Amino acid sequence: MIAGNISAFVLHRKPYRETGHWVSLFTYEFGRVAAIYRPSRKKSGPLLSPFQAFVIELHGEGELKTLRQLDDVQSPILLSGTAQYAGFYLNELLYRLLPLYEPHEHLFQAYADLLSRLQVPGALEARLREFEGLLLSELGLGLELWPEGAETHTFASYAFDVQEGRVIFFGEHPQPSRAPGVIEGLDPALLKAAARHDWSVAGALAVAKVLHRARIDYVLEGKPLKSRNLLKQYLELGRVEKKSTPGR
Amino acid sequence: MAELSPSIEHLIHCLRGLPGVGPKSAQRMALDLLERTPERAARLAEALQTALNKVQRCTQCQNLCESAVCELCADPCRDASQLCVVESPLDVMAIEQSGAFKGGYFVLKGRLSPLDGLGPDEIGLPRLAQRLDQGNVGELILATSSTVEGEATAEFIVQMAKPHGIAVSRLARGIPLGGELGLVDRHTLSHALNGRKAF
Ligand SMILES: [Zn+2]
Repeated sequence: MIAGNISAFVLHRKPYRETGHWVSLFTYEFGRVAAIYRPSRKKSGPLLSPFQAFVIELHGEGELKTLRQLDDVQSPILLSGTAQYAGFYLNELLYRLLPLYEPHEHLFQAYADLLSRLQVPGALEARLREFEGLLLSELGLGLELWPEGAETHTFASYAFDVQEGRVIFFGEHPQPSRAPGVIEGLDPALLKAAARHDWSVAGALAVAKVLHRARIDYVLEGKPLKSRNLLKQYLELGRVEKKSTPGR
Repeated sequence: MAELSPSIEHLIHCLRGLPGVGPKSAQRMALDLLERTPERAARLAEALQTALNKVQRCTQCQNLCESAVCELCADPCRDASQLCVVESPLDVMAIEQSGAFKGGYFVLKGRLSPLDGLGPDEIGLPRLAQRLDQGNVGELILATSSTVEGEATAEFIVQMAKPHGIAVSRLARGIPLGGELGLVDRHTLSHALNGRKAF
């Protein structure tokens, strides 16, 4: 196979042999792809960097392709502060959840858009939640925070079934048998708002965060997302700083 | 091809995956050591064992050394209030060879790379936090690589240093000496422009 003119982002790369790189790419045409890249010794090409749109050429029959020709199509998306840790988070999600060679054009577009807006302050949480939701549903991993067209029942109690990835509701008398992996006591108004990405409703983002996280952890079989921790640790450092500033 | 004996296979397995060593080179190395230069193989085994026994991380800077505190940290002529943070012992060597720096070092165990499982704990940032808490560091010079991971590491340290009111600077990046602008890639050029200095 030789395929050229492929739009790609680097999700992850590792050194390979003396001068090469093993690269995990998110491509528009093929979804996630693994390839080996050996930069030419003569001319210095663009750096094989994440958060940068490339046009590439792929060769090879096997699952591991050879990456030839690497052109950066735009200026690199320079992320700093919180945005760069959020970028790692997006990359880790895609790296670990996307199957190889399954095109997801819509998701690719959403990823490219989100990267370019990541540095714009504000609404980072909302954008991350929307991307998580899109990713899960694109991959058929299910995330239904509110059944379409369903009415709110005043006397029902609402829960999220983590294994099924959807909201369930009980009648007036909640079952006493509590299944594991069910998050209970959810507010239907917040679930509805989160389902339609109406983040102006106070608390909707927080609910989405908890439920998305539980679902992603379940899909990843509990193996922690290192980048989520890093993002959290970075934000905590910022909070310590804010608290200590007035005293100085 | 006939099978190699289990110990040879094991040796090959241990060699491959070393930086720059693929399956073929690992095979050649193992057979060469055993077949042609057994004395060298014995010396290699001994050298490895000795290094493993003696080499440790400096309790101050995490550099590899053979005592609790490395020579650089123990040197009274160096300005310990100035701390240059690097990603590996090789970087210390490079900066030392330049002769341009007379402060102390802090050697990280790599750089933050969550997709490789490397977070703040794995690269030894808690030890740096202790050094900052002790209060005798007045200036940090961040010399992590100019990859996105190196940048993320630098910014994390900037955040760690803020409550201490320590001056932090980042190694300047730009045009190589004798380099012509036309030959510099645009990433380097944009960094060089961003980091320009007033005359
Ligand atoms: Zn030391």
